[in-house]
Amino acid sequence: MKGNTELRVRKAFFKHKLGIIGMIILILLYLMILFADFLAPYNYQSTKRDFTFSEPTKIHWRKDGEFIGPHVYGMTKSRDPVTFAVKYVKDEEKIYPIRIFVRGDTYKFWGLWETDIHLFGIGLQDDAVLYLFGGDRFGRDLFSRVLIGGRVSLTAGLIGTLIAVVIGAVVGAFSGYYGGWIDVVIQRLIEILRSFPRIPLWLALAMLLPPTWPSTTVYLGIVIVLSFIGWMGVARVIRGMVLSLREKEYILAAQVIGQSNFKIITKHLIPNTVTYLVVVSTLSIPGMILGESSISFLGLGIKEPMTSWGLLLKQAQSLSDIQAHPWLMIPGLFIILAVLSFNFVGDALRDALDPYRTVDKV
Amino acid sequence: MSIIQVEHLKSFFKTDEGIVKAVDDVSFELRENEILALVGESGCGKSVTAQTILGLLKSPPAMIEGSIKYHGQELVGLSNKAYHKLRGKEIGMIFQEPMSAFDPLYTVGDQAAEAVAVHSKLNKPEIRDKIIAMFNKVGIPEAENRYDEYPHQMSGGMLQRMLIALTLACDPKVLIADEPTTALDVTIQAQVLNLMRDLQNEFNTSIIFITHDLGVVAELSDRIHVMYAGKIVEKADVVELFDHPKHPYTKGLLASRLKREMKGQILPFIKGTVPRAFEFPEGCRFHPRCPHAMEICKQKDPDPVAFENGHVCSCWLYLKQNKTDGVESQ
Repeated sequence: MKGNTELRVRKAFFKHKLGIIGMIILILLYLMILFADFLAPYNYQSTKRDFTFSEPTKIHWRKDGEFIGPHVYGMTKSRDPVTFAVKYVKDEEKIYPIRIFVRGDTYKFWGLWETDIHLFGIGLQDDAVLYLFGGDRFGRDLFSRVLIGGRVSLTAGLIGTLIAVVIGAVVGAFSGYYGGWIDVVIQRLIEILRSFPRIPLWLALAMLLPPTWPSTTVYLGIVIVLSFIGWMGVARVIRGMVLSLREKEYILAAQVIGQSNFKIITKHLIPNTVTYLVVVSTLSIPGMILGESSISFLGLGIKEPMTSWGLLLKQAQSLSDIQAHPWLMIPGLFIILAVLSFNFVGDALRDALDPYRTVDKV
Repeated sequence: MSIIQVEHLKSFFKTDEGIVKAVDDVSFELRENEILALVGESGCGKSVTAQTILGLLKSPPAMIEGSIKYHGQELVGLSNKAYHKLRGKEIGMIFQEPMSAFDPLYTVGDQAAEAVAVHSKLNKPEIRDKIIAMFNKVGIPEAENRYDEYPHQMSGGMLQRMLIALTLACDPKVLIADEPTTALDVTIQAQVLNLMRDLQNEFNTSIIFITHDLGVVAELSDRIHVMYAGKIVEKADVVELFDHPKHPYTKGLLASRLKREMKGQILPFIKGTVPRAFEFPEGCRFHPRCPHAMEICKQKDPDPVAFENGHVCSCWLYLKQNKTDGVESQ
């Protein structure tokens, strides 16, 4: 019988096309940030003064009509004598082929051992770069920065949601199980906190993080700020579920055998809400990702030289920047991609785990 | 020797519609090694009495007065912490719906082990052995395999036996059985009743058996207390009660049992229903349904009258008679 349920849930999930696509994209994204150092052709901090705001590098396959494999040309920077605008002129004599497993900037792979092998690239050249997404204000490779920035954005959402859901589940369960004045106090507190508009509260809390903190500590601080807001919605729903669960006879039975209230909550009440928790987690990760992005975008989150998608977008704040360097918007596409994928997966999970939809799903 | 002594117990609930007197001035005792049956229709306070004994009612809204003594220890007003030590270990309880008494997320064995682990210092394999031995004792086939199965894989009768097994595995002195056979079909009922009888003999447990089924009571119990609308109206040994019922309510209950001779006739029944708990009538609470209701019944609650063989009944019929006969009323 248990096997049937598993089968049904799996079937219902795999029926959801968008959910599958979202799942695949998410797996790719997380693999991407896992091997970001290796996938990125450059170190995300290395600057090239000659290539500030260089547009995405064009990859050529043929030379004079003859196929010679992917390659880029050397570039020389010059200024337009009339407008003084920066121009890059390609030097077709200098050919830099794109190779795999090339040596480039050194990095510590997963912080374990030092290496300089990158999946692809043209090596370190003075007069040529392989900037797939173009360069930023300091001549850093936007593609490499997007990969590294994804680490912050995608994990902040994950960890923030985890913390928020754990706090929400525990507080909600206590509130619902004990009832009485404990319930009243917790619920009124939640109402007060929730009546603050979300973004100003985030900003106010993010302001509390001292600017002198190292970037990893700031990152943790941001995660905590995000989860501080996120737990309340979970707590309210879990409270409601516990209110009905606590009347079940097996809770009474647990009391009758002398089980402690704490054990009843952690062992019987919260586990019975777990399908909801799974769904609410996947559905609230996008909110967290957006939250981190908005805080960083507004300049109160992750600080340079560390980076996140929101911080990368910060460069695209002014219209003139977007007009001159439209590739600075690319990090935004990644945010959209991640958020949509999580939403689709969340929808698919919700439909799959919903016991009341068994009839049309089997 | 009485193991539980309940005196003038009152469990009231404050609700928006008024005060619900679910249990009103109930006194009884549970003796060692006996099965005491609490009998009555739905909603007459049997289960609330049980829950009061186990301290399961939250106050507020519950207001509990009177005294419950377990081995001389006062339970009314006992702290939650002290109750945790008592529940399961000293007083166990089994439920009406075995299906819902198990958490669907854990295997039955795990839940039985949880019950034992709360009160004992045995390690996991020892607990497992103990549970499997108990499962065997209550007649569960392939107990070893059943240990690792989930509640939804069991039948109701099997779960009820497992519930009995896990309750008795904690070795309680008192077992409160709240309609343990109501949700089971008749053949399984008989099995479970026999099982309880056997286990009671083996473990020397005293049992408070709550039911509305007089047939079940006749088979199992030593003494019967009949409850109506939050009060005990009649107390007697099982044979005495069946042979000489005193209270009109008891008579009504006995008359409405199925008998073979009644084939083709309309079943006798007690007219009306148990009044709602916040609008119990004045005087004797049974008087609106009582065929012998008198003027005094509407005004005053009758005191208990003692007869021979420990038979006690609260009814004006006997109070008047006693007065005229000059027999002392209790």
